[in-house]
Amino acid sequence: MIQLHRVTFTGQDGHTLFDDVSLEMPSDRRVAVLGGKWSGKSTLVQMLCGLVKPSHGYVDRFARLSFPGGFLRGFRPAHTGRHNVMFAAKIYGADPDEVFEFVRHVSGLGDKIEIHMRLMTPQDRARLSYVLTYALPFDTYLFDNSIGAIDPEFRARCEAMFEARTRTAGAIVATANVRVVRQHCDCGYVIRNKGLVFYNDVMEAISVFESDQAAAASVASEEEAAFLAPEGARV
Amino acid sequence: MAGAIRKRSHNQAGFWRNALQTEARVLSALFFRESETRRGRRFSLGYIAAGLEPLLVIITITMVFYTIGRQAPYGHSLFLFIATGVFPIYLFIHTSMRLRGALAPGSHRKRYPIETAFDHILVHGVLHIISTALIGCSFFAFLYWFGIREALPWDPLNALLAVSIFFLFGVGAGIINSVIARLFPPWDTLWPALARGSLHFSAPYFVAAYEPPNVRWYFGLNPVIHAVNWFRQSFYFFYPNQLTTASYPLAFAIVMIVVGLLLEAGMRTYLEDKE
Repeated sequence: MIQLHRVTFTGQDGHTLFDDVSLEMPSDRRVAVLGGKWSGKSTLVQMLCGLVKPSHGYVDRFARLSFPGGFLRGFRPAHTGRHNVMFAAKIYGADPDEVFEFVRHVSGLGDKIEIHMRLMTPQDRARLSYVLTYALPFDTYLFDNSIGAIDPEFRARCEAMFEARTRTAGAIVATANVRVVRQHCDCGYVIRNKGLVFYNDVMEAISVFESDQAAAASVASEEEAAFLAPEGARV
Repeated sequence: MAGAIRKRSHNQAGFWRNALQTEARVLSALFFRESETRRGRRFSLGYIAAGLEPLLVIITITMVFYTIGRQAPYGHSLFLFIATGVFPIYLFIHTSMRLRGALAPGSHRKRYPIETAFDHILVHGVLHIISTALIGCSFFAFLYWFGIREALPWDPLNALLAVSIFFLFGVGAGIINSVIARLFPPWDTLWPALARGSLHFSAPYFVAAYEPPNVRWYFGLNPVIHAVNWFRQSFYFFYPNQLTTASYPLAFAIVMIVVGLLLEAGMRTYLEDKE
């Protein structure tokens, strides 16, 4: 379980993304967090895992939470893929050799894992980081926007790993991609009015999110039409 | 009720055990990674290379002093006298410089959530102590083996305490520097030059207590001189103790750490937002 206690988050631009949010988030279910652009999905994931601190309030974590899936910032570019993977395995209490073999095999990097991270292609780095996320044992896996992308073959592999991991663990997937939520989540939150609204049925969460998005799109199109209208036509 | 209390205390014990296990894992992994890293790159000698700098300074200065025919200001060995000043001062300089990396701009975004700035400070600090101790002990052992009997401290515990003061100075200066450099980035270049320059005013080549009283008073304000004298008293039994107040450098180091931590904590959100 993850508890948010009166959490408020205000960005550098003074824009408040979350205002006085208190809730208990299940850590053993596959939870979707649905929100539009700039609604604060990434910020929420970063607050949950501890990368970002709330402006006010605090987060209590009663589960081992992962870093956001595909997290690249923990890697040292001047170190090899092997060293980076083994370091992550050590700090998260997994068997480094076992994790390394898994990552090498599943990422499809082969011997390329022995070169420095800065010499790898961005796709290879992303492959490594996604497979590393799934290789480490957590109670709850966090994902920001994607559960694994790059190419269709690798996406399918990531989806299979996601299904395998979430048989015994929970996941929190913050995304605007309804297909991913429909396919992989059981329940969901929708970010509305600087807060989070919980829906036990993920389909209900999706329909609320889609209607919110449609309403926002119609308001935006009306504003655009008013802006583009001739001077005399504006009231 | 009793059951509930037992359960709660059992849970708390489990929480603390888990927290300690996690901390130990993170610290040990960081320790081995950072020991092989220099300026973000893998370097097999790592921290030992940093320990070689004072050695080079000692050898160079001793050679210059021998060339111009200068005698040791105290004791028989010029090498030992300079080493007892330069080694601890360099522990302070290097600690203050390298701890800065743990709190560098944006560093909180360049690590896993499980790693904290405190872990990095602790690991870099311990690595400095180990590298300086390894090089320092080897150097003093070499001098002893070479026939300089004073190179073996007669009061090792006192020497250890004095070295700890230098380390605390370094920690305090490192934390304060981290805040200054985030507000004023050129400080990163200025501080190493300032610190190395200030080395010459901290009595590595002279006995501060032998200076005229009016000059000595100014030297007495420098807490590093007190710590250098304290360290030297562990090697030289009758070393003059006019400028050796243990409480002054200790209080100074503690104040620096407290001020540094308060500054860092007070400005953390502002600095992170700014970066």
